[in-house]
Amino acid sequence: MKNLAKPMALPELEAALKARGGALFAQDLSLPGLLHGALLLSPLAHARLKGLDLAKAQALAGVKALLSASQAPGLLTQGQVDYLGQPLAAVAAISLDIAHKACGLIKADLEELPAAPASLETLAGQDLAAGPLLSLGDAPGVLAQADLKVQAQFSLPSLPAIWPLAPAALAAPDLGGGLVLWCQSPAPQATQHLLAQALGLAPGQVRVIALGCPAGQEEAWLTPWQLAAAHLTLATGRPVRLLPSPAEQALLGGRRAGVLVKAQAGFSAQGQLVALDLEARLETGPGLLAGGLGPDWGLLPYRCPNLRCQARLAASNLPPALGPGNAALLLALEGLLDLAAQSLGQDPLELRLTNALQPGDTLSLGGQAGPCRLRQCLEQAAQASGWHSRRESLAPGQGLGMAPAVQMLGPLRPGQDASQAFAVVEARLEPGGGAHLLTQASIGPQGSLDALRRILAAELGLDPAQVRLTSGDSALAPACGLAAQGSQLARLSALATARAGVQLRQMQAQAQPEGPPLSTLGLARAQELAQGPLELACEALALEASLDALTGQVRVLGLWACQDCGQVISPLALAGQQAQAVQEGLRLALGQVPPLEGPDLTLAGLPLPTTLDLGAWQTQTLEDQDAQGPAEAGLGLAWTLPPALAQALAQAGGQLPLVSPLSPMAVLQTLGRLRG
Amino acid sequence: MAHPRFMVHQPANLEEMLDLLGRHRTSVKVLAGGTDLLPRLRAGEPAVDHLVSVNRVAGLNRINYMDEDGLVLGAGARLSDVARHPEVRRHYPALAQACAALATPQVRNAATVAGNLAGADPAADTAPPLMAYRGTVVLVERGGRRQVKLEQFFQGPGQSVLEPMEVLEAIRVPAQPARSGSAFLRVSPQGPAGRAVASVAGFLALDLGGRMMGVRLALGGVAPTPLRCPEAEALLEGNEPHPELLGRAAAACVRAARPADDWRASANYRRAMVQVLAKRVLEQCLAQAQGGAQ
Repeated sequence: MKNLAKPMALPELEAALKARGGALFAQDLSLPGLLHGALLLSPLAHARLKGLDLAKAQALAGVKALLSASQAPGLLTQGQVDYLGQPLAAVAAISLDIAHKACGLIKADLEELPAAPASLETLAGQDLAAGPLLSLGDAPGVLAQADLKVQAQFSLPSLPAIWPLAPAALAAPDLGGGLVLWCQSPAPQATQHLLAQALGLAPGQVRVIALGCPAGQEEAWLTPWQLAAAHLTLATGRPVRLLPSPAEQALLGGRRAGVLVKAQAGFSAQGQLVALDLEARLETGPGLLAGGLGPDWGLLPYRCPNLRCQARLAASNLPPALGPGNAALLLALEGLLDLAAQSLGQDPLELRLTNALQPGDTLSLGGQAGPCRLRQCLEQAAQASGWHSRRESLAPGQGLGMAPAVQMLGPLRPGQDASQAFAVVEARLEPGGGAHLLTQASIGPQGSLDALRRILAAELGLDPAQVRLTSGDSALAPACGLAAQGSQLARLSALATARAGVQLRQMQAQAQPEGPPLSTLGLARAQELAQGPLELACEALALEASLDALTGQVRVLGLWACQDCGQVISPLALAGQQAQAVQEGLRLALGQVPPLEGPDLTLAGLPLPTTLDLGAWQTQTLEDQDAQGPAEAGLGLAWTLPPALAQALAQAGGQLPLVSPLSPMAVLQTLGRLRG
Repeated sequence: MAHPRFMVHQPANLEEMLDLLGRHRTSVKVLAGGTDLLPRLRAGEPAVDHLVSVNRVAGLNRINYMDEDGLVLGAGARLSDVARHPEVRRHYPALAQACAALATPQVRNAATVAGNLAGADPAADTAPPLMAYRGTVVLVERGGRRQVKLEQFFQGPGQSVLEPMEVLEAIRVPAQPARSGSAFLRVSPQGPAGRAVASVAGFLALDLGGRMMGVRLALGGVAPTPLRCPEAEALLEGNEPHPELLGRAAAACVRAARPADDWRASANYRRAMVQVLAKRVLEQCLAQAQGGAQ
């Protein structure tokens, strides 16, 4: 993989097609006899469903199927509404207008029940059920005797999922009473099994074709639109497509759970982090969706011999949520470091360098850190930003912040089933001189499936354009382990592709000229990567911001990031993924939190950050030719942005913000200049 | 989400445009930039079968300035064109600022000033500066034309005096006196591209004795319609400028505002912003006018 430098710099082969809008997704496909589906959603968060009057909707010309709870188990409300937007009925009709009209004609008799409080503030004083616990050493005991103890309470509310492409789902009948589903998925085979289980079918009766992967979603879960398309197809025997509105996407598209973190840390007089106690209170809706607490939960970028990280879960009547991932914990941890730096009179960067994870350190999740270049990332981000000189020359109202993060690459994650965490790809030599690669992965390492094609091409000495790629099809590509999903599946598939390429080259050397076409399977197991010290992807980000203390408006003036992603396969794809992470970080740091209901919830109302919210920015990549292949750039950079901004604003305004995202109102409240 | 289907008509002249509106009167809307209308249609607003575009109507894309008559913006004048027009920047800086600050570059390249006004959005960014410049809109239908002051044009959120078959043909802004200054500022929690939760535009001139004359202040996003601030204007009119007086005028602007709470911003925040922005706008107007005097 070391000789790929030049070809890697090319844009991905499908780039022109995607840029022109020519790439096809579920919303673009059409099949003979296609029907359009729609869901009737509960306007109440908690209610008793006393009855559904379907008569008028059924009588509407063009309606082909109308399902209530008994006909679509697992999708529709049975007797009681447990969350806002819970589907009450599903309709298939010859046009989308008729499907929506039919939904409007259904009369739901709902008796409202008291809803559980969902605001994070109310979670602070509640007695909540204990969730997963991470524990090292004796955090409470060491905290009590630490030279310096800092504590604060931080919060990161639930934010709706952002689907750059609407999560349309199209299902069509298949032979033997089965069906085919076109959708977005981070792991088509996992979606296939989830769907088969929900429908009571054998996995072989369901084929899932992933056309893209939802941004930032590592976990395969069944969206209501996928399940509804499948139920309606089985009910009508015809293809059915569901295309959710932006409001439906925001409501049911996999929002991240809101988190309130009660945090305490103990430091030695020299600034060493000696103990950390984090209690994370999560508002989960009726329960977390697949993936548990989310990507890299509890993976901390610092050495900490004594740690207690306790999750506590609060059910609410808000829609189901995905686990929040590491963002809230990092916001709290970095906030504590900032408070400690202030008390100790130390430079925030120096305090971070003192405590940064190094190879051989014990990880917060257990196990030993392997190659880890977090210190280098911090130093490079500091150098790129001109940390020391810039901090000294900042104008009033300006501040500079720095925050790091680490991510797990391919190894087994806590609680993961080792026997199910593997990827298999198939590589074939084609008679015309090219090759064909088949993979379950719907996203590639460093954000681009094209990287897989380039890896195989390099091993076989081909031009990447000579490698045909079949990806994301649960029926055509070889089966992988069900636990391998998202970026883990991408990384394992990259390793499996490299191995398949090597095998194919060896077979080629020994093959008879008139022999049959050659093909082979490549396999990579997460367990292999978990042998010995664990490889980590590291990143650090410095950020300069200005604060208008009278309006509360914040402007990010500059951003300097450094990221270690193992071997770089496609610099352009990596840059794209870094840009996406920065954009998501801006949303976590500065985006507004829209309500989950009401007329404002349209795509136009969803405040997404744009390049206008950012001054200059620059990312550097540390390349590691000895790494075990390409690493995912992922969301790590996004998580560094809120704490780096908070630190910059603490310098600019004199107060450390304890909440993210920071609206101008929240800034003024932090500064004590606005009430209510 | 329904996919709206409609026919777009591209009339070549005003006569033809009015004919088309009359012919399809039960299900027709006027299309300019489409940046506001099309998302609303996609979001499920009552469907229309016909859109009549102003974009190829002769003369409607004009941006004309004459020293005697002032500025005329045709219904098709794009925000980005207005923002960079040298005469607009020289004589109507608050309008240029509003056109350059609104939304994203892509939206500004498509959206029009007339469209921004015709939607009667209380937070329409071009309304406060045009009100501060005493702008009027020219409305035309088959029966004839009428000219309406902007203060009278807006009736409520999404409501204006525009009749169903009437077209906003142009915006007229009188020429501004020498030794004057104007400015526009907005605040949006969603960043520069977001919708303003409060905006303030101001205009003032200085007489030979340095007293403020013709003062006008207008607010956006803090009431059911954009509105003027007569109390604040009266406080300043005929007086010599000093910081304390500007501060009192800014406080008077808050009394004119009638903001509501919504998820973007609380009424408290909007009120606070009116005072902050009004003070800054007045300072900028004064600096310009004094610079002009020198």
